[in-house]
Amino acid sequence: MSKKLYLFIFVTLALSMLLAACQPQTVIETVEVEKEKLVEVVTTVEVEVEKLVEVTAVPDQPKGDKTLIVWWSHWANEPAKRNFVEKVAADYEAANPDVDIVVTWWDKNPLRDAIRSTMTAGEGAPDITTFDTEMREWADAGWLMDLEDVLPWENFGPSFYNDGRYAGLDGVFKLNLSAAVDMVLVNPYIMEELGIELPESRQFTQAEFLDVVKQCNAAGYAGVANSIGNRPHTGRRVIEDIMVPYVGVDQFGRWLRGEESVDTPEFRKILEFNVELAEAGMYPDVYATMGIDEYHVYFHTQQKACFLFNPTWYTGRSFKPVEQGGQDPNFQFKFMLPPLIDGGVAPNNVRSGVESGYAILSSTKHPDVAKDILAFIGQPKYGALWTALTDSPSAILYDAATDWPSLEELEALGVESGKWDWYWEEFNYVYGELAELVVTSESVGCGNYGDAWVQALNEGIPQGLLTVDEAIELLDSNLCQ
Amino acid sequence: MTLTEMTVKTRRNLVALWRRRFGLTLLTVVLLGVTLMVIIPFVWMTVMSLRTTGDILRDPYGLPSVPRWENYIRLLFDPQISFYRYFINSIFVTFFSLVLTCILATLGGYGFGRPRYEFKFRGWLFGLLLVALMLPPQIMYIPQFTMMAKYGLLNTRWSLVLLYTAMALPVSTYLMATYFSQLPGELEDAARIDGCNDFSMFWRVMLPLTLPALSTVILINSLHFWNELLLAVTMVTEPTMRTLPAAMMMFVGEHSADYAIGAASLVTAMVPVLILYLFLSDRFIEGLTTGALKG
Amino acid sequence: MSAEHLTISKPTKTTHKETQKPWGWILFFIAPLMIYYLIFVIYPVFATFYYSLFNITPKGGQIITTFVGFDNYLALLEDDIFIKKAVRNTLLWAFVGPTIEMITATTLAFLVYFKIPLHRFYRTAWFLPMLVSGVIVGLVFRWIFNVDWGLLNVTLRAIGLDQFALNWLGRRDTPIWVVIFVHFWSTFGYSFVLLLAGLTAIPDELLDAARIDGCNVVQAAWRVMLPLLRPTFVTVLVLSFMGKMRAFNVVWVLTEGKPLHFSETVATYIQKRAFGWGTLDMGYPSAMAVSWFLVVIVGVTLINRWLKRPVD
Repeated sequence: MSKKLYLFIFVTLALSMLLAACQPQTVIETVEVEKEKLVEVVTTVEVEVEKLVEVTAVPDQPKGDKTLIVWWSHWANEPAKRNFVEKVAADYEAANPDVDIVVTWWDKNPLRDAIRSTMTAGEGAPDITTFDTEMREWADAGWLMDLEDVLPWENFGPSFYNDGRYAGLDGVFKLNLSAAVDMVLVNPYIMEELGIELPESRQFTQAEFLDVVKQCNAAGYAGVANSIGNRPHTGRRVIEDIMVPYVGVDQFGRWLRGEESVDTPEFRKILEFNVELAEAGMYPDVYATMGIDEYHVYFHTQQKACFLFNPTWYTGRSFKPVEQGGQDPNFQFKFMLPPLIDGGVAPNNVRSGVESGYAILSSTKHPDVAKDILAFIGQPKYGALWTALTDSPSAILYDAATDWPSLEELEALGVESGKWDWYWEEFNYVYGELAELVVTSESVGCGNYGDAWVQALNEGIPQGLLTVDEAIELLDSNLCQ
Repeated sequence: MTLTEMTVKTRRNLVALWRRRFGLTLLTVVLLGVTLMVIIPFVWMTVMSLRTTGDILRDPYGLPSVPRWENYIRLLFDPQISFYRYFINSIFVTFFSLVLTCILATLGGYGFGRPRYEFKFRGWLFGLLLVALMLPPQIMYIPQFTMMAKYGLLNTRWSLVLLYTAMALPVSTYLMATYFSQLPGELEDAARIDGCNDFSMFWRVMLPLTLPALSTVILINSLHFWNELLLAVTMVTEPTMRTLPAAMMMFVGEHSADYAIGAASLVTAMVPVLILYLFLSDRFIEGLTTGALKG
Repeated sequence: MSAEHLTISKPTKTTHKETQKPWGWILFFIAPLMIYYLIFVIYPVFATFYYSLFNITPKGGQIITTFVGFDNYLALLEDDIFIKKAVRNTLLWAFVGPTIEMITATTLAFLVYFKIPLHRFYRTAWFLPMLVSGVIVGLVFRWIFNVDWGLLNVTLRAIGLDQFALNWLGRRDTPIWVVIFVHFWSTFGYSFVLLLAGLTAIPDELLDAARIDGCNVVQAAWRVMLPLLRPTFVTVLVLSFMGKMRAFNVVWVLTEGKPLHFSETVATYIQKRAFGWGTLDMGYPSAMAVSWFLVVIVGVTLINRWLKRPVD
């Protein structure tokens, strides 16, 4: 009888449920145990990880005896960089057939959240992840592996060794690929329309810049395309870039990290200038909601803004097919130095910051392989490949004569050579000859100061939501001790 | 007999009639306005999903000259996007959560609903169960997260199945218990004379009678499971394991400048529910109504 | 909604033939459910409370857990973002949201109840947003409230109301109202349908009686039906209130609490502090969740106390 069969299945199910339900009663007991552990103050993550390895060992080894390396990377929407990472991974796999690298592409915000939850949980984290210097808490928490003895540091510029380090912590935590430079892009077609000539020095003074912004606004353009829809740093970059030539990079760094009170005449002057700019129509109407991809399009395709303050990672989102949101290669913009506030001490200083890089998470089950992969990337030829593919400067030093990939190699990777020559010419002129690049650490201060900095400079001042006094008070009340 | 007929009968003069017509027209206009407000976002979204982003940027409100179904094809099957996976995940999670919920809620509902199983603290226990209706999910999810981590369930669809079931149990059990309690006791007596034990009484006699309540339970819960976001983004960080709402949020974040395909992803996630609703709108409304008013 | 609503029949008339209780079967039916519930709901609630008394931070590869007593709760009182933004917004929302929702939904329910033309169509259409995930609602309304090309501003400009085409999501004052509106948009249909069901359940005889007394439609609605609707009304109000207090999806996708935390709600702030904050501490957000739970309980109890008549 089929009814009996059903009955049988049901009873089996119910019994197994009961059994399963009984088991978790031990959960409640272990809870007690856990509580005691908590009171004892220390629970080691390592122990947990080992336990979990046993549990998850089976799904993690699907391909026979190959070592699986899980690599989470930002840059989901930047095909050139994906191209680079996939090429490196393929090269490594070819050289090490017993390793299987799985790269997963993310948008940056969810990636950070995911790293944080998986590391807190002690399970599910990748081996290699995108890492930004501003995520100091990851290093504090002991989630990152020390790369001091791992990377061939002689292949990197000195600033990239320092970028992955923190005061009070031993170790270097970050592999940088990109040597980002903060650029100011200007739309020459609009300048022409307005009859504005770019000065020889490629730098506007305080008064000139304000005037240009006003003229742009009168003609229906926003001053800058920068907007903050999905990033906490894309708007404040304008203020920060103006800050650097005025006070110099060291003072800027102390403010950024919350080491010093910002209640000074200089800081006040910078903010007041930015308030003036904001009132003159510096920022797009859609500042609050326009996302990072969108503002690139706003600048190069919709052409609704005169300037864009953006580091060299501009190319990642723009030098790709037009139908994917990239720019027309004939849209040949120009570069500027950030405007100089009267009395500036370092006129031609341009912030040479750093872009996202990679780090190894301490929970990895194959630290040696993961380290080997990062060291593998640190070869000069990959520095050259990075620049060749992504059209952005490389943190890994290389000799263009010997390390540059061959034309066939580039063609195989889908690179059209010569397409962006005008860009490099202009770049080399402005940031090679006119500007002096100065290195900053992007690490925003401790605890709540990071949030306060973002609130004040990314949101408050540009949108007129905070007065200068309120912004200074907000920052000072959250200074790091 | 409705009140409107009644007023017409009692006040049969022309002025009143004219006023009524005018009032009714005005009312209809207002109500259609409300309806438009509800419908327009859906229409706009659908139209956008059939255009190219370039078109949209030029004119956000134009109609597509030729509907571009490529957006959907790219969304679902482009190997870099593969949206269909998230459908599979969502269906998996919804289905197994429903099975588990139904088993636990019918058993529990029977135990709580029938007078035969009354015991001293039953009402008290039941009250405890219902307190959960007032719990904001935030009060549970940090420990739930550590619990899932401890048992290696993080980043699996099962973690969502387990937690969704927990979330759905109070209302579901309540509905089932109420329904079971309304069935006449004579049924039990008759079945007992036939020699049924308690389980076969539940399984063969009572359960078939509760199909309306059970279908309500299934309907309400499948909707919640299909749309849930908070747990879905917290428990599952592995991209291939995401459910539709989580995937959609990530996807639109990654492609924030590509409005066309973003809109296509929204429409795709919505379509299954909408189709069901078109055919079963009364069942939906009724189900969710009883769910709330009784729960 | 709460234990007060319990309508489970008590075994008053049924005489137990066996004096022995069928404990085996009681266990069989109830135990799986209750054990499951204990593990996945009750334990987490208590654990959250327990966590809230600690400072739980990963440091140098270990999880450092320090007992801090009620310090987290005291710190909450001094957290400006929590008190001045999140709590303020959520309370504003919990007050304004249900109010406009109840007024609109009740009015609409009465209109549709009196069988105006197209009433079935209205019912089907208005209920629609309820079915759609908060993610979709949030994303679509991000586009609709776009200052530049959003549907709302384009419409306003088209009819010459340029001065009202505000930067809805980028000001101090409007974002929270946008959130309130969007959530209203997605839930008013539900309240409406619930109230309509409540109206339909009122017996016709009462209306006939009202007619005999010479009431017109409005008087009948106001004097006879509204009081009878009261129990449903309270239930819907409580549901609406709880919905606002715990709403997460729509806010998270629509504004993420921006700008400057001006549209922050408690739910989003807990999420930020728990899974996206520079301090990595799990104790503080737990304290926030616990206090919030208490606020919700107090709110629901107050609504029930004030609006529910003891005998009806």
